[in-house]
Amino acid sequence: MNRQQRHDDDFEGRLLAHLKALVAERGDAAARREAAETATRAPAWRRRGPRLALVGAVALAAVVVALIAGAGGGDGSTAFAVEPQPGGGVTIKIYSLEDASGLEAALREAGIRSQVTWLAAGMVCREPHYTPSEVHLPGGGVLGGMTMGGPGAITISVGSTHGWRARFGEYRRGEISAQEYRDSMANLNLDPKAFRSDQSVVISGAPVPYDGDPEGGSITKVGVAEGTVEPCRSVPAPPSGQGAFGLTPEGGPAYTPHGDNALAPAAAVTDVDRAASAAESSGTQLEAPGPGQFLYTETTVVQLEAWLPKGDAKGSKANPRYFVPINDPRGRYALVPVTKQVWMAPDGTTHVRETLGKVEFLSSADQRAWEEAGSPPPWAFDPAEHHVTRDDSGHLRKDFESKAFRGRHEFTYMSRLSRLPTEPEALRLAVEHRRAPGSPVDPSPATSARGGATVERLLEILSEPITSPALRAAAFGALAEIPDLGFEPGVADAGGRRGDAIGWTRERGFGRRFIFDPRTGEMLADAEMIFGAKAAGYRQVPDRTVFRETAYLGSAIVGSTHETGSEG
Amino acid sequence: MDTQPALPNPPSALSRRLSVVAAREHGVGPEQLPLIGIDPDIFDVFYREHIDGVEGFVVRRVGDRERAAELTAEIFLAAIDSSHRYRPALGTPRAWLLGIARILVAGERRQRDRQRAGEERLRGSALVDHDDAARWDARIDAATRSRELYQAMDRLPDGERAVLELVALDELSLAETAAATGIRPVTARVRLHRARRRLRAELEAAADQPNPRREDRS
Repeated sequence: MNRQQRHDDDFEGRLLAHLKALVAERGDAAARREAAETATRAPAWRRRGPRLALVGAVALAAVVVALIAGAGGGDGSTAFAVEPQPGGGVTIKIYSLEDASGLEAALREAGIRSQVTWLAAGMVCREPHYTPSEVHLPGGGVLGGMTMGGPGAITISVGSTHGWRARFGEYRRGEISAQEYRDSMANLNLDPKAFRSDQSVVISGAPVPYDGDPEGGSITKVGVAEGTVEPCRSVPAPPSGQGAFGLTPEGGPAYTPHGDNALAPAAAVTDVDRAASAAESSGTQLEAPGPGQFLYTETTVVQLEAWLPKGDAKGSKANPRYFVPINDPRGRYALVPVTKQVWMAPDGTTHVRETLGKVEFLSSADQRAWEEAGSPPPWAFDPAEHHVTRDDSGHLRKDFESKAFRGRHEFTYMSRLSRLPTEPEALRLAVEHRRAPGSPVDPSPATSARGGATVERLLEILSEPITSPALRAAAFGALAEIPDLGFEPGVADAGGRRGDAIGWTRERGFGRRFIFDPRTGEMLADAEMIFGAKAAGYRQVPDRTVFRETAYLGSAIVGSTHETGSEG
Repeated sequence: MDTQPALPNPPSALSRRLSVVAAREHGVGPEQLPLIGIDPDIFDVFYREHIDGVEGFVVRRVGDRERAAELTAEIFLAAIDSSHRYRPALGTPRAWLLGIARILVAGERRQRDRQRAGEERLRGSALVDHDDAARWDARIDAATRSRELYQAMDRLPDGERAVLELVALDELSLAETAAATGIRPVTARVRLHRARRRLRAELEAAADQPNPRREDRS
């Protein structure tokens, strides 16, 4: 699939280097923003001081004089601030809608008529209280309303649509830096010239839970009205699955533990504890490879792919049948297993061998059709497109050189991982980013956003090839402390091995399941699954279909790329 | 008790890494695409996967080496920029990227028509050296026929031209074409049919006067 790496010193190589540097800079900036948010996380959104915000879009003009226009919060912070923009217009940075009349006045001064309502948590305005309308923007496009949610402030700028769009042009031509561009864009722009005289904006907002904090985030709805706007009458939000706010009751993305409900929670805890002591006493630890050595890992990755028998979508004309990702509605679903053997040198260079296993269609009719069509292999193993050979049993195989994801930093990363605390509670607090707990903080249940994310991180740590027995034991120990784990005993992995599983369902029917062997404390597999085919939008596959599973088959330190550590 | 996290950012580092694994194994799929704007490793995979396709897309439409190089750079730049807005509903990553390419190349056409100078663009062309230049020229020559076809499409209505281009020149499926142009598949099918019919008439009419527009692109 990937083109062969060209010499670095051609146009494509130089362009890649430039663009990667740009992406790295953007990534660093995003990480810094995230870190800044974590550091300044205050108990409640509405009491929070200024900070850079938000999912998606960002605030804060580069050089501005902040005119403090409102005085909402009781502890010195303000409800919102109006900042003039360099090119005319204003940016209103809203920390809270509590000072509704002050915000209405500020918007009116900027040329926008509005109704602003601040609601108690869990309440919404009773609809309809105005006639919805649309603002047609100069140069095309329509503003009809939007909902913004998350932690942190939201920003609304009032200014010309042209100026708003011109910013992107400036950035694209390199006149302003990526940082300046992001800093100068508000979440929403209102163009006074685009509003008809009978149009106004209707803004309502309420605190919502975020990251375990019952008022850690906010949700703000913006609509456009024509004619009279009735006062907002506050009513309880409808109890939909997503809540009225697109968030789960706990805040953040949903983690619904998925397991065997008939099993007593104590049985699950006993099982995980058993894995912890097995891991502790296993005594085997892989170190990073030394000079001349390789870290060898073997995994089987099973991926749900779709085969397009008509071949009208992909590939060369000579060989027109291909496997594609599962989002093609005409595809016939098959599980495609590939065994990956990877030899990784200390500098991060790797030798990879991939062997295609038996392709199994979900329906036997599709299997027959595929076999009758000559069993065309997936794209990645198509002899017409790649250099493939066959192994002793006739399976298609590819050998190629690659690089570890972190290059020469790969093992630095792994060794940092191995320095995580090896006491269960300390480990949990570390992966939760909680510093120096004077008083211990109890684990959040796996049903909450924080608890669910913690479970996921602990299991990911357990899946690393280089993890000390003590760290593995601590990770299992920490898992055993988390209430409401989704637990399923006696589950088979892609390699046919049996173990017990910790699993959960994500929003929209997708979920994940880690399978481990409680007798040895070893991680067997990490499976991503469709737990609710209907919710996930797949009508033709049964629930609990695996769409990607990685089975961990073994790892060892070896002396050459011909050894697999099992030679004796 | 020292519980400073040993990793600056363990959760995202780990899940990011899993995304890189997935991308390396199966290409940058819809789940990983939003990360190309912030993760150089995932961008690397994405770039290698699509650079040939994007260059091909550009040289089939633009006959000028420098502009082709600049547009190639701009297309990836715009993809980096808008990656956080990608949703699987917008089509496969390839269809999404070619949708971006289409918009930028169409902008290029409009700009050319208005005879505007593009002085302050990202200087993709500055990255082209002698060896590259020869390679680009070869590619551009090889795409001459496609470009002639592309020029012949000039008089088709915009919507029809977009569909025909993506299907005939870039070998996208109808479903991908629909996603790349933001229309329903059935609409794409109808437009493709109309465009083919119209173009056939157009080419038959033009057969008497060979390639009147051929030289206007140098």
